[in-house]
Amino acid sequence: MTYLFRGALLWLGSFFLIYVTLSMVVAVAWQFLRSKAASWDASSLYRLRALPLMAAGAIVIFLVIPSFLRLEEYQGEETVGRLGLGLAFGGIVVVVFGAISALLALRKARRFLASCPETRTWRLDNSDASVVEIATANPMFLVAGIYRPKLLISEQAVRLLDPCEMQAAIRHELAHASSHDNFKKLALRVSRFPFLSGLERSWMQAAELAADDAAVTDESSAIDLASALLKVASRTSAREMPELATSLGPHTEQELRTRIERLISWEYRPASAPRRRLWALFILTGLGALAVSYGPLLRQVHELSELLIR
Amino acid sequence: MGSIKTWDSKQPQLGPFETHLLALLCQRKDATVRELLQSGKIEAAYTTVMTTLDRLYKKGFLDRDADVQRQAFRYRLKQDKRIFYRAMLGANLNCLLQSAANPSLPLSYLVDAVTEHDSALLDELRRAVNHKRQELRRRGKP
Repeated sequence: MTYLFRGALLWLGSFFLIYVTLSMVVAVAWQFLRSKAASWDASSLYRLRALPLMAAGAIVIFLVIPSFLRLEEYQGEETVGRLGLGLAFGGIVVVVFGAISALLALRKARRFLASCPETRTWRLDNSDASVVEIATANPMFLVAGIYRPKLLISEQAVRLLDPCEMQAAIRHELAHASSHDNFKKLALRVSRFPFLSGLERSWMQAAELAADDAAVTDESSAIDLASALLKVASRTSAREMPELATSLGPHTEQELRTRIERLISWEYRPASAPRRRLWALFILTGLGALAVSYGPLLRQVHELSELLIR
Repeated sequence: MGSIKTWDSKQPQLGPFETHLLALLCQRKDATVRELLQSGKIEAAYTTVMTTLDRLYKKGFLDRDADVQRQAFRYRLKQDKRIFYRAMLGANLNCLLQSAANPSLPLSYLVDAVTEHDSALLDELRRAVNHKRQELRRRGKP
C-alpha cells in the first residue's frame, strides 16, 4: 500500500471518527439545550450546528495530516487494518453523500431560478444591491444564489405591497444576503446528520427573526414588515421555494404567528455589542497554546492515529 | 404492501353502521358484541350488531376468536389503525367524488375545509396588525 494512499485512508478515517463523535455530542447536548433555544441568537445556533464539521476538518488539516507527513516513516509495505479501512469507508460515505446532497440542492435552486423568467432589473436607491423582477404565479420575495446572492421579487409582489411594505421586505431579504444564509444552508447540506434536524430548524427560525430585526428600525417599519409578511404568506408558501433560498414567507403557522407577534410588540432593543474582541482573544490564545505544544501534540496525534492504521 | 391491498377500493362498500362499528373497534383492542353494546355508543339490537360484525368478518375486515368464557366471538380489526383510517378516508372521498356531477366541486370544499385554520390565523393576525397600525396613527406615527 503506497504511503500517500495509507495517509488518505487515515485522514478520511480520522475525519469520520471525529465528525460522528462530535455530531453525537452536539445531538445529545441539543436535547438538553433546545428548551432554551428561543433565547439563542442565530449565530450561536449555527456555530453549534456547524461545530462537528468545522472541528473535524480543522483537526484533520492542522493535526492529523501534518503528524502523518512529518512522523510517519515511509514504509511501502505497511498496510491499514480493518478498523482503519472501516473508518475510512465511513469518511468516504460522509464526504460523497455530503457532496451529492449539496450538488442536488444547488441543481434544484438553479432549476427553480431558470423556471422564473426575469422581466426587468432595477437598482435600489440606498444600496448597491439590485433587484431582479420575475414572473411567477404567486407573490414571491426571495434571495437566491450562494456567492453573489440575488434579490428576486415577483411582479405580483410588487403589485401587492405598498412602498413602505416593499422597503421593509427588501431590507429583510438584504439582511439574509449580507449574513450569507444561503451559503450557510449549503454548508449544512454538506454535513447532514440524522439527529440534528431540530437544531437546523431552530437556526433557520432564528435567522428569520434576525433578518426581521435587521429590517426594522421603529414601530412603523415593524408594522410594515408584519403587513408585508401577512400579504405574502396568505398567497404563497415558503415550501414552494428551493432549499437554498431564503424567502419572506414563513414555513409554518407557528413561525408566522411568532414573527407577527414579535413585530407587533416591537420595541427598541440595543444591539448586543459584537464579541469580536473576545473571540479574537480566544482564538489567539488557542493558536498560541497550539504553537507552543505543537511538536508534542503532533507526536501524540501520530500515536493515536497509529492505532487506527493497525 | 399486501396489508394495504386488503383495504383497497375493490373492497365491498361499507354502510354507515358498518363504518361506525369498525370505528368503535378501532378505539379498542378487541370486543364482543355485548361489550360493544355496553359501551353505550350503539343503539341497536344485539342480533343486529352480531349480524353486522359477522358480515364484516366475512368481508375480510375483521378477525375473530371464540371467547369460551362468554360463549361469544371476540372481534378485532384485521389491519393497523392507520391503514383503516386511510382506507376509510379514501373510500369516502371516492364515494363523494363519484356522486358529484363536477368532481372539482367537492375537492374545492375539501381544500377550503383544510385551509380554514390557515385563513382563521391569517384573519386574526391581520386584525392585530391593523389594530397596531391604528394605534400608531393615533399616537401620531404614520
